[in-house]
Amino acid sequence: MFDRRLVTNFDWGLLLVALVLSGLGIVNIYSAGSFSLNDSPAPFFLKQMYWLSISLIVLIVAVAIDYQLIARNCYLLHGATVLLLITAFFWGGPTAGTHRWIQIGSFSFQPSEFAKVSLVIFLASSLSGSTPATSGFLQGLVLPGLLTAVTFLLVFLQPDLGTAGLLLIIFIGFLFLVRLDIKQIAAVVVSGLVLLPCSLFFMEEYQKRRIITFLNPDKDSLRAGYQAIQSKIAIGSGMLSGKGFMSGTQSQLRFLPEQHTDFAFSVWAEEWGFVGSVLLLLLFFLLISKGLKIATLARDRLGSLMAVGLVLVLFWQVCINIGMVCGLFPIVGVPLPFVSYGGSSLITNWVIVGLLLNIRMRRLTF
Amino acid sequence: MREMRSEHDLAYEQKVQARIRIAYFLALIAFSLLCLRLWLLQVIEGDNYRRLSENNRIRTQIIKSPRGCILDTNKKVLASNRPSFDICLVPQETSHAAEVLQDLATLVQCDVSQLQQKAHQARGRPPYESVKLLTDVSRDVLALVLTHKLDLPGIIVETTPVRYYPSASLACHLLGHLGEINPRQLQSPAFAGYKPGTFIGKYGVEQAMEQELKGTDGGYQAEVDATGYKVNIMGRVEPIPAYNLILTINADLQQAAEEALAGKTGAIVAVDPQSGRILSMVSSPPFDPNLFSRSISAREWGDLINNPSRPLMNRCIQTMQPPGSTYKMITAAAALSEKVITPESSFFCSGFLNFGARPYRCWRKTGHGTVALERGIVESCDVYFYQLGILLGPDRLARYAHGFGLGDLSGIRLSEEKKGLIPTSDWYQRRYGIPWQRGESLSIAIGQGANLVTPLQLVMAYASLANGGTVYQPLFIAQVETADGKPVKEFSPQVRGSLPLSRETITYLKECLFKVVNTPSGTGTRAHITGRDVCGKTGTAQVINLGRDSRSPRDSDLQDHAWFVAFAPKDNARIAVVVFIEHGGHGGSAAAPIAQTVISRFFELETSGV
Repeated sequence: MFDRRLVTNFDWGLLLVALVLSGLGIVNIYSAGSFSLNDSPAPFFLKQMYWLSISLIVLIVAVAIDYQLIARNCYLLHGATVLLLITAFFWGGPTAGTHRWIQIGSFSFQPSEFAKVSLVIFLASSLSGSTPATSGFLQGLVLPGLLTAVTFLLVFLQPDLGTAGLLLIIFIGFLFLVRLDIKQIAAVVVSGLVLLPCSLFFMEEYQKRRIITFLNPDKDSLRAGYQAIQSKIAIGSGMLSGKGFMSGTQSQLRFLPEQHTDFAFSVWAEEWGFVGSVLLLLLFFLLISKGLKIATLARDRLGSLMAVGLVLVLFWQVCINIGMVCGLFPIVGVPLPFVSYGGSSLITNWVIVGLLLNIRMRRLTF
Repeated sequence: MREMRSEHDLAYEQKVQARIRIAYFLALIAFSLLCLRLWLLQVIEGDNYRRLSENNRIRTQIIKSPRGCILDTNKKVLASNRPSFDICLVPQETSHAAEVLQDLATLVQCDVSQLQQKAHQARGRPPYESVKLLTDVSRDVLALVLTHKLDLPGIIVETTPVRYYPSASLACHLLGHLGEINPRQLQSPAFAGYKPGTFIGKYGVEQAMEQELKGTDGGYQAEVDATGYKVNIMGRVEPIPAYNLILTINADLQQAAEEALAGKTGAIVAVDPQSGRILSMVSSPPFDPNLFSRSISAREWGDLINNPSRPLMNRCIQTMQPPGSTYKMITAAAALSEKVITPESSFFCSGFLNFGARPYRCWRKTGHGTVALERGIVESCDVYFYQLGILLGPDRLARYAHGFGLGDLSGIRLSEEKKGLIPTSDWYQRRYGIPWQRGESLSIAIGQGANLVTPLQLVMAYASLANGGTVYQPLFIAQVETADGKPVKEFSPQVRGSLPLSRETITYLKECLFKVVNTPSGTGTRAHITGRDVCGKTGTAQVINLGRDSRSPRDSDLQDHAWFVAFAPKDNARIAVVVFIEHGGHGGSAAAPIAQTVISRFFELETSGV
């Protein structure tokens, strides 16, 4: 029962943008990782290429299954993710004091990456079923809020401040989109702004320090400062047209920390300059505007909400990552979609693309 | 389901659509802000960050040019360099610096807070640059640290050249010492190119010859990676080695002179009368210039500064004292040249001379009887010279004193030199506001009163008499040569002038000085050396007359200063020596034997060909 409309409504442009971004990411990882590490036989760019091919298979699955079917099983899906998050605390043991990874054989992944998507699917389906007028307060706000809180807490305790924050922002984004009036949003924001300094006020200095150390065990403040400075130097020294491919001194001489993962954009900006940086930003903006377009075109509210949520995941990751490497935000571990090295992240981003394509091509099927 | 949608539902749908549009514009704004930020970093401040990235990657390493050596006339090393072993920390090479510092402190038994303070100062430096924790450690500490190197990650040993004076205090006042360049010097154009923390010559030859001794540091630029590992060398400037200095000093003679003066406060200067070259220059008590080669401790500095004998003072050129009877040679020279007397003119000495309202005493209370000039000099009759003082007056005498180089800077290349004082009637008027008191003419004629000279001035005066009348500039440096021994500059004797005396007068005075040492009644017989024809003059400068000390007089403070100036042999003299001993007593008994020791040693060395 193949529907021709599935093909005519397929968003080839979105697929192309995502492919170009992934390709540039691999080029960038090639440059960033051109020195070889003794303990990894396959250079990072090769590994990322394997991950991309796996991602493309996952993409086909994400496109093939009707998103409504996926949404109907959202409890199962998100429940499984939450289970994986819990498993991470017991399985595999802590890596550098954190419980972010689940290791199966030589293969390891970060369940928190998948949590981003499954939370979006869950929130979209639970919030789209009925209007605020008809659905109860409980089902409309408290239940999704509670589940978000549980997910948030599990990721927060790993600890992965960046991803946890991202989950929170996505939830707030949904509230903004469907539930609350401006007044209510303002109330939430104001109470949050009031509560945060209050709680800090009641904490002793050493408690604050402990919390910061707990959240960032591998990054003492001095080291984080060093990373931020080196990243700014890398980006700034790229100037208008960059130092050229594989010629970034900050990255080639390894002044940049974690340059193939969180600081991949700094490598790119150093070697390709302002021109290259803006090009990359344009590609991301194209991706996001296409995603939002899909949200407006979706055949139902579920598709529309799901699309917006998925776009939010990409958008916030791009903003936080680039903002952080530019010195606008503190250093939190959020990767740049498609560009940063990492299997879990790449697969998740391609799942997002798959779901967006899924929603887009089924806009006229009922 | 679709047809069941209420109007409310539709309105809600529109609201969601509107909010998606808002989200779109918010995304646009967010991306624009990111672009703006990138514009700021990469275009507006791009130059600055490019420079910072170059600073990151290019490390300039200084190649130290060791300070030039100072050698004696026989090329014996007086000042050189030795390695200083410094214990340093590279903070980035250890993840637990605090523990490493604690371990190090326990190992070498020092205060850990001191180490922490040093390590803390390193903040803000380029990564992988070392911080000095302990400088110039002993070999024992070095061995201890090296054997525990594996337990002390991040701790390294660096070697830097440090000034070293192998004979410690030998000729310390002439050689001088180093010190860290001060902020005022750093700003002066004379020290352009010096870096903070550099040790420069602060005193003596080290200071006077700073330009020749300092050398020029070289360096290279290396591209380094984040761990400080040198990836490649980009440029290299070789250091220009400093010049070595060969002094006119003879270390063996210097040694003998220092030993002769050991335990006393005073000075000895020996020169070659035929050239003005300084053969030895001793000031006592000495100090150890090695203390200044690294940062001197407050305690060591305090000990030197608060020592009442003032060991840091170079008495050869910095102490200004009445010359006492050694000045009689100058008075005699003036009287003969001005023809106020002839050698045959005689006066009667009854042990004192009444002049004005008071008696002026001769050192021999019983008097010398009838005295002519020769006996006046040989037996140092004060009354005879009182008469000359009355006849000459201060201004004529001063002219001759200046002719001998007294009261003027000798021209030696040491900035510490003092000028001394030869009084004139003008000076007296300016100083006291009244005309010259005639009684003063008596005092100055025997080298008392306001006369002040330095030992160097006095020996140069006698040296010019010894060589037949040429006044030389004292010279302590013979040659400047490159590190591998090629001569750069030779220093030839510099003539300042000639004595305003006739040949006959010079010969006559030398004969008198010969008799001071070589006749039984002479005051300087204890400087006699058989066969060496030593000529000289004693001096005993009265301290009490200076009247500047109102403290309750202690014995040592009341003792006279002892002088002896000599040259030998009488004809074609090869050495002139001055011995000055603060509160030493009589010149003839305290100073003359020391001069004799120095002169004997000089001839010994000359014969043995050293």
